[in-house]
Amino acid sequence: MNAFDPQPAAMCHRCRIPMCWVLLIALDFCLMAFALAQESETPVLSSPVQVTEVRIPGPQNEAGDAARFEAIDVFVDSGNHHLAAWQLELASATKDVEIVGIEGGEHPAFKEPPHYDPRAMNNNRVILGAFNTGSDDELPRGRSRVARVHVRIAGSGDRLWHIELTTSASSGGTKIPAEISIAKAQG
Amino acid sequence: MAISKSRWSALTVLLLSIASLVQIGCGGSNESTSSEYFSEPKNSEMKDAGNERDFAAEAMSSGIMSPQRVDEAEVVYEGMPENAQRTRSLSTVFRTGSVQSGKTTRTTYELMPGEELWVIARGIETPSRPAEDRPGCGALMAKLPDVEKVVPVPLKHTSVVGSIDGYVATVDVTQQFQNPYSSKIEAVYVFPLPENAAVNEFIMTVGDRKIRGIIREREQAEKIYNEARSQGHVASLLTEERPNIFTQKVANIEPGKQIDINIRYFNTLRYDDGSYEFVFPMVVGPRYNPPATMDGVGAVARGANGASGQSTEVQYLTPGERSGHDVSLSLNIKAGVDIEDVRCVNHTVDVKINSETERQIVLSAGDSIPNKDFVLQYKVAGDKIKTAMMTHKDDHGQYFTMMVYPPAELKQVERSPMEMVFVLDCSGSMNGRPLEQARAAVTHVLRTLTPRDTFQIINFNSSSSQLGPAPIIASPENIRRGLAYLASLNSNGGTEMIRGLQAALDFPHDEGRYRLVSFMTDGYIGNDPDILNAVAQKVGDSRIFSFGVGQSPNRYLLDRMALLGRGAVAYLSLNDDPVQIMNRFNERISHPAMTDLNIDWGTMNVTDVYPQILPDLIVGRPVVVTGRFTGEPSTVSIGGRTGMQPISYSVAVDSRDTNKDHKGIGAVWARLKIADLMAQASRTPNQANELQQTILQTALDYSLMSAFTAFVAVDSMTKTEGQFGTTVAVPVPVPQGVRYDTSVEN
Repeated sequence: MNAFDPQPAAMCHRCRIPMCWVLLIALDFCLMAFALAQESETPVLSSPVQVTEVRIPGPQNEAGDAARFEAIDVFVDSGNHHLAAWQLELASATKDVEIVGIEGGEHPAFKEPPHYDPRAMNNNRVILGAFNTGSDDELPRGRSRVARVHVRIAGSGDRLWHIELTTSASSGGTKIPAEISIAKAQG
Repeated sequence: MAISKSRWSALTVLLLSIASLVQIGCGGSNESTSSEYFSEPKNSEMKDAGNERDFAAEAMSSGIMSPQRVDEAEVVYEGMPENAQRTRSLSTVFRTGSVQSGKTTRTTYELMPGEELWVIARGIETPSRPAEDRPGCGALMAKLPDVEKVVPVPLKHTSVVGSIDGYVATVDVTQQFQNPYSSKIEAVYVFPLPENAAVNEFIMTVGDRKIRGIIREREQAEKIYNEARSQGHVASLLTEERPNIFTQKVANIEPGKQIDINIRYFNTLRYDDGSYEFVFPMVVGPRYNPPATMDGVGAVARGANGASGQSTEVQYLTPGERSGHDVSLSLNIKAGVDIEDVRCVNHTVDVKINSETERQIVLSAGDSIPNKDFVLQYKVAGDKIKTAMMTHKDDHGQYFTMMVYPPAELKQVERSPMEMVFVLDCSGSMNGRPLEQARAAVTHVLRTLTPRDTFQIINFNSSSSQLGPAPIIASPENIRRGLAYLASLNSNGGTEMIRGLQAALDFPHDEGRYRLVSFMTDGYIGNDPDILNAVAQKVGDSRIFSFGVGQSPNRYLLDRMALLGRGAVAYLSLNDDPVQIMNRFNERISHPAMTDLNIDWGTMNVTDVYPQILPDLIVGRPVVVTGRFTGEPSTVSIGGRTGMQPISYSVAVDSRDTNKDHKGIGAVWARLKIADLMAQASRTPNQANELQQTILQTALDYSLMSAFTAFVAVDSMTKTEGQFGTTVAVPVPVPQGVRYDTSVEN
């Protein structure tokens, strides 16, 4: 062994792998765990309530580069339960979307435009809610459009939306299971 | 390391704020500005006749230039041999007027080789009076009885439905826009609302579909609206021009179609000598704008778009014209105490008694022309009046509003000698009955003065003049002089209120007397902020009592003047008895005010109280205080001074009052906060940017209209064909009693 020979690296006694490799692998595991922890903490969707992501297709051609106006229909499916109250959060994953109007649903119980929380309102995020004090036979069951959100979208291409149903209740005020979905409104 | 949802939200808000600031800096609007049209033309453009025509056509189509009579300018070259080195002589012939009656002027100029002569001539403007069938032919017109001419307008009807609970009103205003023409239009309507209206709901109805408008920063809302309009979508935009003047725009109304706009607001009522007063203004009076004002409120004839050159413009129907636009109004009052009497100042109403404490008021169908303020006063049982508090709790916190009444002892103290300054508006809009009312009011007060007092009479229109160089003793002889001076006053010309203000406040104060300045005016000016700033700067120890004269005075200006001047406001309708109104004024000024007010809130932990500078308490006029709190209301102590004597009293806040919950109180509080911050921003320009951000955020948080926010609604599902069509302003009548010829630019 001359002066230019490298010194033998410290070895793991069990698996005969150099110790620096072990440290690097351990560091990688830490980084992966950290990254996973970050991903699980989605900023808009931190609620334990069911969160859905929906991709709404948009024009892909060059003509679509200008701003366009379209509407997103929001549906709540309360199955066999009568839906008396609901609250939801709708957010676009991108910031080139602006909410420009909120319309009511198709069922007479939710025909009036729902209210929004002005403090939670951003250009691309809104918390909506509505209730109806009518009797069960005046309330919708199954899948029903509860709101239509008019938006301005800058540029072409698809847009990813996050939706979260935070409250769904019966006329007695009991929480009921329900599912939420959205779709591009058709004229 | 986890980032909480609220932190993400805060981060998003921060980023959006930065983005919006960047947008402000870049001039977010894509609208063309006048400077583009009037920038200095290039030489080649000047020489190219074709380009000049395009430029003019562009400017005309943009609405910057009104269609006008074409003047002719000929250039005649005389004695111009080729290769001439000598001076060239040019004659220009200007021809103005019609071809038949045109007046011709010939001017000769000497030019050296290489020099150019640019002829820049301004044409004589002849604002177009639209034919009845504009913007398309086939207007849906109806002939009404007893009117000479019915003008089709894009506003069919305004419905007002109000409810009063205690002294907080909730009012729903529905404007029904329609298109009576044969082509697509954009309707623009400049209309008034009460100056303290907290507008926080906006819904657009298209067919049977209702779309809730979104509150946005004003520039952003305007940009969204303009884009939607140019893409053919039905859209609407509500902006605030003054705290009591708003502009409603509705784009892409197709022929025969109707679009409704519903606005909801909350406001507190004024209380005056035992009566609450509900006011709904129906028309913006014709405003005068001093020369060089650009952001004022113009008053022009119907169809004379842009003739005033002001950022906001109201078009007026000429005498004898009538639009089909009418107003219905109903009001439910739940006073909480017995109602003794109901009086409607300017309108005929039907009153239904539901109970001792409740009334239902309906405007008579025969009194539906929107040319005067609806003013309803209801007197409540005097012995039950007490300092009343209303509260509300929501996600933002707990709010209260409290009406603080002056102590009864105030009536026992006599006033000190006064220096009474009367300032009369003698401008064109006061011509006729308004000036007569003001004159009668001043005459009555003059006769009640004693030789302990002094007085001065100032009048202003385009300039100002006064009875004498200084206030004079109110001796019988001097009062006779004053009455003769009053009788000699006429009204015409502009409303240079600043001159009246200077004359009234810019002279040395008589230390031995209490100076009281009474403004008698309709307040029809477009430069309200300038006047209010001047009042704030000059008022000193004077007290200002403002009197709004006429059927539709500028209540924002008059209320603010009185607030800044630590006095009170009163309104003198053409239907009021001036003697009665001025007796009430005399009663108020016959006793000293309770000054330097401070309030000990007891068990309540109170913050963010508005107004931040409490006004004086004057006999017969309580002060409304609004704030946020925690804890339980019980006893409130109010302290102050009368003259040099300290005075204090305690009020047990009735638990029945505090249990009253009104969801509008949060909005009312936020509106008062915005008004207070706006006044601060106006007084302290170096803090204006910071205050503007606070105002903007408050308005967005509470979904409120303000100078910096606007409501926008877009129906993305309705797309009409072609461009957005013709913009049509809704012309309105001049207020009852105001002369069109002396107040509207023709």
